[in-house]
Amino acid sequence: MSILIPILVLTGVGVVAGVALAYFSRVFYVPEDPRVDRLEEILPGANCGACGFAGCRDYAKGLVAKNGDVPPCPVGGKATAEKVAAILGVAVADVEDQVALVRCAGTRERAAARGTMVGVRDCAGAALLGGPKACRWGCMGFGDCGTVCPTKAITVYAGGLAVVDPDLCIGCGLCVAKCPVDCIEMVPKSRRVHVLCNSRDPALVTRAACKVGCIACNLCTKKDPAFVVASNVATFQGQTCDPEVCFACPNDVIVHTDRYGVLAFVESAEARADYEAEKAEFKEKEKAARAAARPAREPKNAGEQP
Amino acid sequence: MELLLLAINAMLIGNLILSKFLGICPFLGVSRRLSTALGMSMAVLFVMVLASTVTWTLFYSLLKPLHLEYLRTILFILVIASLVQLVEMVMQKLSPALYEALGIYLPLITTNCAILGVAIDSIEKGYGFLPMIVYSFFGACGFALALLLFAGIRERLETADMPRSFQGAASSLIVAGILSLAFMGFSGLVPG
Repeated sequence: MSILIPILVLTGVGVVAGVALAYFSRVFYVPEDPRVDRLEEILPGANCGACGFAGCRDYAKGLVAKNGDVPPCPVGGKATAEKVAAILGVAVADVEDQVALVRCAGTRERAAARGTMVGVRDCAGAALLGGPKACRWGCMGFGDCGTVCPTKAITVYAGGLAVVDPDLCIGCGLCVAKCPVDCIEMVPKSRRVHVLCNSRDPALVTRAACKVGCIACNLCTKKDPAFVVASNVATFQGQTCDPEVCFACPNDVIVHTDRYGVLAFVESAEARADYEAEKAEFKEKEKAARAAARPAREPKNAGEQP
Repeated sequence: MELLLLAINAMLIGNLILSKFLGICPFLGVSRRLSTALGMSMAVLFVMVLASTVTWTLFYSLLKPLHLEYLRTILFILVIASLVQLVEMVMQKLSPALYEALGIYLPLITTNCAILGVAIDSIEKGYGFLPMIVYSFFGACGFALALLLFAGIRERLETADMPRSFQGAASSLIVAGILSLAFMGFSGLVPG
């Protein structure tokens, strides 16, 4: 008979706990938006936390709380963003597949060196000492980004620069987090034009440190308003532009990927020579056009004067 | 004085993680970043004191009079699990801010053996009500101390240049061992 007592006690406690939980779950019921469940279903469910929330459910809650005004799910991309928008009844956020871009074209020949890195050859360590280049914003080329890249899309080439292969890049953003000088940026995959410089230093400092630095001269912004200059560096924020706009840059830091891949533009001497030739040709043409326009204007002005 | 000794004992000499090897799972699992380690520590502190109080009361008011001391393990697991659930519900309703702050760690520690370990330990050592509270509170503080130390070290190790075979889990386990050795040094703190 004594076996009954422990059974009763254990069952009793279990039942009490169960009933109490059931009761309190109703007393303390927090109504949750049914959309949260539906959103969670369509999210990738990887719980990777790349969105900044603690997992997909938390992200779904954030979406509902802010009515979709949170950064899009980087893993789901466009397809998920469309489904999210359908459930929330808002317009599709402007989501695009992203790829990483190393914003530096300062190879060894073009960028001034500050010293030689001896010892541990990684960016994190080099950054503590100010980096091997005179420019403290540029790619140091030890390839910390490549080590964290899950698809091995980043390689450090002979010029001492890391370059992302946009075909291999899945847009996870791990390299962006890893880079100690914030030289890597996520850009829309469809963007064709990039300013390959990250230097926030004023023009004089930049010019002294690197031949291919953005000096925020605003010549590009005058040609195309999609270029925006902030913190002493220009950024292209549109989709694409007339390839000739790139020639406006006095230091040749703007690459148009319809013409040259980022890798070729940074590394290949041939592509550079092509670019130089094209630029010279364009400048010549521009000069001729200006010369042609000048005499045409003069008589007109003269005619207006009484 | 006795309580002070008990506190030091619980926190340093008999550190839950580094001397008793309880709660190794969160010790290795959530020690990647200092901020998450802090969140986990706070959640453990909260639940440990609460769980010990409830199980202690249950033991002396139900199991002891019925001579069912052997049921404590299974009963404690049951009670702690439902207690954490209950706390989570109450918190979500009454203090959403705290609920958000503890986040995922609250349900995680339902199955934390350090919680159960402290609850059973304070019964086994025959602590009264107040010593039990002190023991569980400072036990959790010791847990927090070890977790935060470890997280701080691991954050720094991330940037260290290590041979490939030592990277990641291997170095973490070695560091855990060294930390544990260091805490052994506290054992001479209280004579006897």
